[in-house]
Amino acid sequence: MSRASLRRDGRGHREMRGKELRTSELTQFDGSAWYSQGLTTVVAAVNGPVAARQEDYRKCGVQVYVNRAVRIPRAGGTDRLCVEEQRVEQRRMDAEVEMFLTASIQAVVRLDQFPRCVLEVHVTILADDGALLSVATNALMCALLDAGVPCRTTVAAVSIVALTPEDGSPVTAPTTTTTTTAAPEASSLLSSSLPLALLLDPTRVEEGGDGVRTCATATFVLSNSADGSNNSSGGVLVSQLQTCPRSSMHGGRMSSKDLVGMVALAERAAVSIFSFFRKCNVPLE
Amino acid sequence: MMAHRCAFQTIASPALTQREVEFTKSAWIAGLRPDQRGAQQLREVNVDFPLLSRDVSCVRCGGTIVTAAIACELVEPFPYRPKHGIIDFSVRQPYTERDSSAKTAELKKLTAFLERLIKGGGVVDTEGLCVLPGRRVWSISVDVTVLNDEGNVTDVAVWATVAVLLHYRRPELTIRGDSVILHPTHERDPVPLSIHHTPLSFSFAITMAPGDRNRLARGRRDSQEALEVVVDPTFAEATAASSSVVVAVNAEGQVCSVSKSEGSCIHLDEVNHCMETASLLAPHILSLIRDAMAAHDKRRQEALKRMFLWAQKRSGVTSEATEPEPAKKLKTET
Repeated sequence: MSRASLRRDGRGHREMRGKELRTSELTQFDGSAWYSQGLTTVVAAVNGPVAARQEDYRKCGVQVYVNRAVRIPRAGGTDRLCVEEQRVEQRRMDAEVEMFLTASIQAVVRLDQFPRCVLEVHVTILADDGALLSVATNALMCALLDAGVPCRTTVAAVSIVALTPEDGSPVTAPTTTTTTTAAPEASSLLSSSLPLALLLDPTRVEEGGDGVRTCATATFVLSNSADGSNNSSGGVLVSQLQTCPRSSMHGGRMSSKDLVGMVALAERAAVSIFSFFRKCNVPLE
Repeated sequence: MMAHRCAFQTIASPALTQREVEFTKSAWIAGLRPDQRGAQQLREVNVDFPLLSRDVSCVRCGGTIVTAAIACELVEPFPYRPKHGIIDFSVRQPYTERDSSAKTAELKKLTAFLERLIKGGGVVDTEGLCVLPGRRVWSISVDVTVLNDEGNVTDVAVWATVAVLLHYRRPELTIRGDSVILHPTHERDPVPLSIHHTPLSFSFAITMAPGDRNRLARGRRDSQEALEVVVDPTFAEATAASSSVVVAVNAEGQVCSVSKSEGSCIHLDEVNHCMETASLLAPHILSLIRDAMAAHDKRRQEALKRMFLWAQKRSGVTSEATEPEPAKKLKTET
């Protein structure tokens, strides 16, 4: 890989940011975790399952609250409308994080063992510098393990950005595309034969991109492998894919091969997150 | 008296709460505190800036953890105050089912206390935040998040807010006529906010009402003295106390705010004693904040140096332009 394909913060395309994990700090809750990847920092606190009144009493209910550590500052005059729109957009993004975390909990926790109960999760986003869904899911997984909630498996979440490679240095996805069958029509299929470049663990600048080359942003939640090997994971449980609209220059270019490449890269990245979690599990002496 | 207090958090049973209250009162009569601290001794205080950016501070006092975050933007001012900037406070806390409904009222009172202390007390001059009168002013938003509550949230929230206000840097401006140029941080160094003084608040629990103390003094003849005023009350002590006083002093020893909202009557001697104790404790907390700011600046310098080393390698400044090794940093703190 040449030097021109390094990212602006010095990482390669398949490199994750530095991770930090602290658990059991919030004594008020049953389990808590303080997890950060780079500058994105999330504090997750888990309470319960506790007895509560609810509609469906046959299994445990899940309630996720997402808070941001800092709000958008107030404004007067006509700027008040812009600030209100930004706050509405931020609340919509927080609702998306809530739905994603609720789906992850429902996939992982054995909710059927706790009828007439509610599992409460409080997620505080201290800083958002990209890959927010994966950092929040990893923090939530550590908090659930800290609380001793019985889970089917452990999960690790990975965020990936797919973008069109530059003309000078094509960076290929793990999938290999055969161009022998397309040789007679090479002139017409030249633009679509180049696979997309994949960035692992994107920052906020890379997620937004330049508005031209970014095709999709995906977050995958992968479970641990059953045999405990370090070479593979147990598959994707929850995923979220956000593509650019078709009307943009590189929009609508996502194909099944690119998606398979993203899943393969996410599975390889999840192994490093699982090994990080295992290293943090050293008992206190 | 018990009706004014919140429900006890970590121990939900009323019988155990009553035992905690009785044990605390017996310890006070014997001149001790339940966790063996002195009457004027704080719990272990730790001030930290957890992120590399300067806008989040985290203060721990024993088991109480409070995080304060700040955001700053250039906005249009309010029409009725065109020459004043905007500074806004909010206090939030994750809600547990063991909290009572009075928790939201307490958080609102804490927000009002922060607003009175910092905005009303002249810590940040809102007129100094004006850039162009009527068109552009700075708007500051300080959000305090109580992550863990083991008593004395008011003090820790004020310390975290003061720490984040002291440490934050806003972008520099260049004003030419009616045009305002906002310089990014890589063009010019950001500018600290103008803080006039640093108030730090301290909560005190008054152990007994004056009538009870007089009755107790008549009843017993020994020379053992009961505790009257304790600083930094835990949750059990706040539940057992007859009233509470919050005193805010700055580094020069001037009293900025005294707040007593509920409970029994107290003597003026006790208020004076609270002010003197707060004046003794404030320089210690301020030195902790200054040390945390210096340590964070050193950490930021080291991170910037590592970043520059990588850029040096990439652009070939040195003679051998080698490939940088993968910088996977795993920091583990369990």
